[in-house]
Amino acid sequence: MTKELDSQITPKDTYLNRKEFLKALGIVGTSAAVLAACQNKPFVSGEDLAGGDGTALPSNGAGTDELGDSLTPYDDVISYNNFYEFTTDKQGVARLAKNFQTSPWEVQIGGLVENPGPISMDEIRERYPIEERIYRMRCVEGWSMVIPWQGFPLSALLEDIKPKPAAKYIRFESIYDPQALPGQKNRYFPWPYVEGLRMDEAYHDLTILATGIYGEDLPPQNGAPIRLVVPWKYGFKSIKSIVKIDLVEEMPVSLWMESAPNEYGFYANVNPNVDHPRWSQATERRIGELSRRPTLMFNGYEEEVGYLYEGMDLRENF
Amino acid sequence: MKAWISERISKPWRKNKSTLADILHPLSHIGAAIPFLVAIWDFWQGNLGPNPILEVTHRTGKTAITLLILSLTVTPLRQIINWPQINKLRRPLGLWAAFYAGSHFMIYIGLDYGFQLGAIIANTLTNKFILLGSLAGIILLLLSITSLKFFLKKMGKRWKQLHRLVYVAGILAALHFILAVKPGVLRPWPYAAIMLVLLVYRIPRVQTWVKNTL
Repeated sequence: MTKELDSQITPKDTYLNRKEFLKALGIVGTSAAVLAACQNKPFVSGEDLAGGDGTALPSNGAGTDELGDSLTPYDDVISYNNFYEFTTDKQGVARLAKNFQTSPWEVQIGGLVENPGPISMDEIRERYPIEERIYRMRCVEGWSMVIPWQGFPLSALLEDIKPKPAAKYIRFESIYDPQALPGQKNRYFPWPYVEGLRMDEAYHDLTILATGIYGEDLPPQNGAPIRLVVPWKYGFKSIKSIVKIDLVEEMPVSLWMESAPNEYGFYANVNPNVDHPRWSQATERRIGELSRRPTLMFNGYEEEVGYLYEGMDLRENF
Repeated sequence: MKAWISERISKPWRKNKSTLADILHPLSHIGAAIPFLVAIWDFWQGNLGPNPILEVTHRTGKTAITLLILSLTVTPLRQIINWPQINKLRRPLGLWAAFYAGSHFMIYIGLDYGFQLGAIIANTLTNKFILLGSLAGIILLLLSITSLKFFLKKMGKRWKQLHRLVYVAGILAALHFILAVKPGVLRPWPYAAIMLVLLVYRIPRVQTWVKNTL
């Protein structure tokens, strides 16, 4: 089903080359920006990456997602983050998260499962083979990236912890520690961050628990040491720095549902036809590009996930 | 008698204050131009971060509301510390606020939406905060045009009435900022709070109270 998405494993040295390459592109991209502004053209387009001058490119196949769109430069992925546990300033997260301790780390498994209990990051790394997934990530604010994640399907973990038949939803919880995560002193939000999925969404092959990007362990600002990635939903569903996973009967109430119930729903599927109450979702800006591009239904994964929502009113279940 | 004494006593002060206001006037132009020049420099150098269009949108918006606040600070300052000469800063500050509001708007329709009228209209109707911001911008444009001496002479009493619309622009600008961010994001609130104080000062009874208290 997701042939192109699976197992595009790239050796780490290729990655490091690519990182340098993208850094170089970043510089090229800047001087090209002024010209691009006139032409309404992306800073770094797919064609530019394909190497018009005939230079050998690192890992041609994995340099793009399955739609042919280039990876977002590593430096942008690690410096433009929505992680309100640190700060609401996207470009301030990396600095505040720099010394965040992510080792040792345990994830508590509980609720309606046969095998509850804590599982350490070491065990997780040992037990689940890491694969690469290049996914688009669409933020509810109207910008997007293409990110090469390392991780494993959530379904692999579910098979081990064995949900009981009564389990209808999976509930995730992020770390709560206002000393280490100063943004949690903002009392407006009902910390800790909570997210959830329906069981069929959780078992879907596109749903992964990620432990790395660009061949490296997740930096703290990207949700280290372990986070969820659900590419057909708005970015805020992909909860970061998970410490607790519970299988539950009732639909979990996420932090955003509790904070602003009329703006953020449980499903949060990327949908260009259902606007946010305060802004349009029809278009998005891919980071690194100048002009907006149309937002795709289910973020371009409609073929893979559309069946999950057949017969559902997506305007009602936003 | 009383006025004469106070004039005599404060004369050296007034002279200094006049000189200071004369220095501040050109400085206000220079100061207000700096954020724009820095933004162009940062664009050139690629220092605008991963989302440069959003970055310049935010910067011009924040500068516009800051200058609007400063222009609304002139009158209370003039009255409270009895410094009539500072009044000459009101016009440059207001005009520069309008300039940044205009840049903010042009970045939105030109850079962000590439002048695609259909998408802009659809987005403006969905985004109530953009509607509010646009109204604030229209007011500032109107006030900028009528700030020319020609209109000041021609409009007489109605000029002052028209220019009271700046208070409406202030309210709209603050609401625009608040509604543009996710709930729980605190960035707009300091601006909104200062704006509120400055507008409350305009209520005649409040003004009388302030004068009597000081």
